[in-house]
Amino acid sequence: MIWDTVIGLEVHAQLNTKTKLFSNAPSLFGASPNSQANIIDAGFPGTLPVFNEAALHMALQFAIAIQAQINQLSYFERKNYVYPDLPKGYQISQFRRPLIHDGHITILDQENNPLRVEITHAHLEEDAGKLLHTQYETSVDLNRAGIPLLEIVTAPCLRSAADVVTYLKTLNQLLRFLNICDGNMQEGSFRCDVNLSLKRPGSETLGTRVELKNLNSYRFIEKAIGFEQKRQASLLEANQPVIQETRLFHEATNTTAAMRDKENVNDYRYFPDPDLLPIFIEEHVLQHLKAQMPELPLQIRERLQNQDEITHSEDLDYLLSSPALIRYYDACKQYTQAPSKLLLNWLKGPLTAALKDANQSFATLTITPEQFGSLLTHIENRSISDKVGKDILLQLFKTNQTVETLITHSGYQAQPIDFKALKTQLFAEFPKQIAQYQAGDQKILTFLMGQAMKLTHGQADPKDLHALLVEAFRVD
Amino acid sequence: MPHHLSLSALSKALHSKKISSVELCTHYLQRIREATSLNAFISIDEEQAMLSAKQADQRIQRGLATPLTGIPLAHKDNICTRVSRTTCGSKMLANFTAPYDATVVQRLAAEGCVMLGKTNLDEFAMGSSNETSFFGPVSNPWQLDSVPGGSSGGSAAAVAARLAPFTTGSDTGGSIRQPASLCGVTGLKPTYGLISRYGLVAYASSFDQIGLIAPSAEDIAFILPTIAGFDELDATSLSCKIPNYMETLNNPIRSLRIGLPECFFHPEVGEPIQNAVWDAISVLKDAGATFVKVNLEHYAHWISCYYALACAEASSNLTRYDGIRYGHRSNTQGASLRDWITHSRTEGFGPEVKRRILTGTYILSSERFNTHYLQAQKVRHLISLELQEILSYVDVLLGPTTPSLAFPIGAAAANPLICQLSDIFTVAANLAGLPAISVPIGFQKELPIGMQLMGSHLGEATLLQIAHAYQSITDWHSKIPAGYSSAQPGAKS
Amino acid sequence: MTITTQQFEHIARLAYLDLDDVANQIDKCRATIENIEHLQTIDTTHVSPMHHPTSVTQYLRPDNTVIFPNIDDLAHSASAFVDNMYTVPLIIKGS
Repeated sequence: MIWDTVIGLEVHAQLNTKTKLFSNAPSLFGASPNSQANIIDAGFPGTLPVFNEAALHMALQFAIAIQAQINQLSYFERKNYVYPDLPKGYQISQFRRPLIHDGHITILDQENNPLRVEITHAHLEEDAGKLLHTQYETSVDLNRAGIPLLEIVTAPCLRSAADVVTYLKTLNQLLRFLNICDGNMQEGSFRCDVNLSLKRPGSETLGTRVELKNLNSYRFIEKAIGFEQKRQASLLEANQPVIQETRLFHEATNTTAAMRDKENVNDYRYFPDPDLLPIFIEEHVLQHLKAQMPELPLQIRERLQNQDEITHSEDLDYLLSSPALIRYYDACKQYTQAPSKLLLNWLKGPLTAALKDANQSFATLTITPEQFGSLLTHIENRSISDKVGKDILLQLFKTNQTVETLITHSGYQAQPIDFKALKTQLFAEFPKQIAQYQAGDQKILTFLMGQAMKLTHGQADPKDLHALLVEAFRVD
Repeated sequence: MPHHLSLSALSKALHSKKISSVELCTHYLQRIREATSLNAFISIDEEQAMLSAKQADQRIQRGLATPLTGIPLAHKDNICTRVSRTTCGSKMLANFTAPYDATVVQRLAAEGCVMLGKTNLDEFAMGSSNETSFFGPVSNPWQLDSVPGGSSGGSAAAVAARLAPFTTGSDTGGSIRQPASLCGVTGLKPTYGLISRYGLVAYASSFDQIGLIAPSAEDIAFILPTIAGFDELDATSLSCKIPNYMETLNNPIRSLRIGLPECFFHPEVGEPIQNAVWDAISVLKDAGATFVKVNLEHYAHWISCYYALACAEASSNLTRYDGIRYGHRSNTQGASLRDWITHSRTEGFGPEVKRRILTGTYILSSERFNTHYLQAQKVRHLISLELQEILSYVDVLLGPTTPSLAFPIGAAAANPLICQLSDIFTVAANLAGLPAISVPIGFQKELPIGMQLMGSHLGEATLLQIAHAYQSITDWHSKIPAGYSSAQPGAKS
Repeated sequence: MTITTQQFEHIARLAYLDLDDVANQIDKCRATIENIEHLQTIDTTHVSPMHHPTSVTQYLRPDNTVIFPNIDDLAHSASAFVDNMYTVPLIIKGS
């Protein structure tokens, strides 16, 4: 039997504000236990929440980016439940009137057709602490408690694991380019829950949906969806009901299983938080944020295609893989006469390799765009060879000197090849091989190239040399 | 005797070095020791108090004093202080010491006030008689087997017996005004948001306000500017200019219009109380105020509306008491985490607190959210609109603070309605976020009677002005119960 | 229509209060709840709920650290604080 898969996604993105959503404790990742939690995060008696302006502005910029509606008046509500990682006994979230609603992100599906993913709403809420389980007890670390989360919820409009992953990658990229989230699934700053149900093709009625959690990578998401599709299909085909429940993904077995000891459906008793007044979005603030919007992936993609003539989707994906990379690319363009293609190749190839060895990234690299741009100009002008270029590149990690200085001092400057002398020398030393080539042996040219390179002490540009030799050995 | 002086007189005496803060502190600590039978205090830190007094004196010596430097006070024990415990009158927090000072505590300490101790209260500020405290009931200094009112019973009793020149209290449905009335002292609940709630252990967040209890309105006017004003740690606090309440205190009340709601004078209000209020009205009439009869249509709903919403908020605010980060932790190991937390909470909370948590949880449950919680919020809006409308053409509303006098300790256990009815006139100010003050206006057989004035948004200056005008003509506010007056020539008793 | 015993049990569970201990509170709670239910007779069509007794809107805090974390503050009142973490002395199953 054929079933349609219907998927809706809930993403929790940690916003990278300096302090927490409702307290002014710092919100860094990976600090030692309870070193980033203050008495407000710990819900001490008498403490009160105060809303972080930066978190609001980040959420609003997200809304602008997905062309969503913004509720000019929205409010925070308390989601009440008891758990050791929830110090106040409630999570401050939004419920009946979220900040953002009805936006969308367009992705390309498997057939390369545009698919509009509806984002029904997005809202702000605080993260909970972390629990560490040992055999005999559980420990509570409140560092994460209070960190701002932007919860982004789609309509059930996705149909396959592939589309899910494409959407998530697109969303992840957007959040990073907006500079509001690190998008790191391993560290937990980008978390995804999947809601999945099956229905008959052509039917309007949705099936019972199951919530899937504990999905820490795109691979796991694909596997979980695959398993769940099969599991639900088997049930339905055997006329068994699908139970509405939350299931955790187990990576060891690539299966999902219902959460054990799950409480009877919890009544969260949402109500507007009396400690926090309604959020009112002033028009001038919104206009200011619109004007401050960074360039987004779609816009960058368009200009790379139109202005820089970079059309290969692989190349575009590469340049858009991180904001730091595209920033570096743009900066280098200011300082070089080399064409975009060359810049792209050198970023992708030699520089990336060199960064790895130097333990740097595009965000932290010590080679300035001026230096790199200048290097590329020299390569473009053929004043140095590719090989020399790579050597200089490595040196640039350790020095502020200009490329010109390095070229001159190291004697890299390509000497004009005395080709007449070279030709004479080659004919003198390798007459047999030249004759072989002239007789039609193409392969021997490589040998002759090698010898010629040796004679020019590696100074000659291989492309140039090749052309010259072919011309020199040509039998008229 | 120092405890007969007004705060401004006390301040002058300190600054002119007629008396030192150490002498003052010693005087009050002695009085507190002699009055332990009142049970008005939960914690007294003599050593720390004397240390603060010494520091205040040094400050005065160096000419660095401000008007409040050296003046002793006591804080209600649901206001967090680093020094001494903050128990909230509960077993749940019986051994809790806060790692911080509430904003109000900080502001007063910065001026050089000297904290004598923490006063007794109904558990978690829930109650109208101070009988639900884990640390035992408080006695009314006017009649020791009667209640002082609640929840700020300890704070009101302490001022009535002159164990401290002034105290802080908190008011959620009348918890400052009602005990002030039953103890014959003056008590102010300010406009919601005027005083920071940071450090006040929450009962019902949209109702709670810290306020002041002192012998007179003038005393309150003296202190209020120090603690009022925006606090970046309380998002509900108001950004507004704080007036100098002392300056306007003596403004004539000639032009003021005072509304008299008919519902405040219904037959259930005891006759002695009604008479006292009418006498007070005469006094104010002679002073030039005009009176207007007004009708409060929604009066009958005030109490239900208050209980619905206050219990709802309380049920959420008290969920944090699970014994994990602070507070009572049960020794009984249960089969599960749920059991263990349930034991801690069941052992830690008293019955009244549990009742309110249960009621509030019910109100907020999803099936009842619209019919109970949301409906109550709408009724709150109606009540608020009505009061604001009336206060747009009268300056204040006047009536008795409570419908009856201080009742005997133990009476409420037999008849729980007594406590609920006690708040019947006071809850409106909390529902609407308006300021209100209780002023002593007489006695019925040794038991004090109080009148309440309710003002418009940020109308504290007018309230204090009217109360002061009344207190300039009458002397009810300077009466001290026998046994606490330390009679001297000219001293009142 | 007010609270049944079964509902009361459910409420006690939500509130993490021992049912046996609070069983005798049901009558008093019922009385309060019945009073509250009278509010349903009031016509509130076209009336919006009043969540805050003030017309002020949200104060926005600048994104700067003010109250610095201090592990001593957190440990101060905890009954069990081991290796810089609160401990709950029971095994947690499931999630």
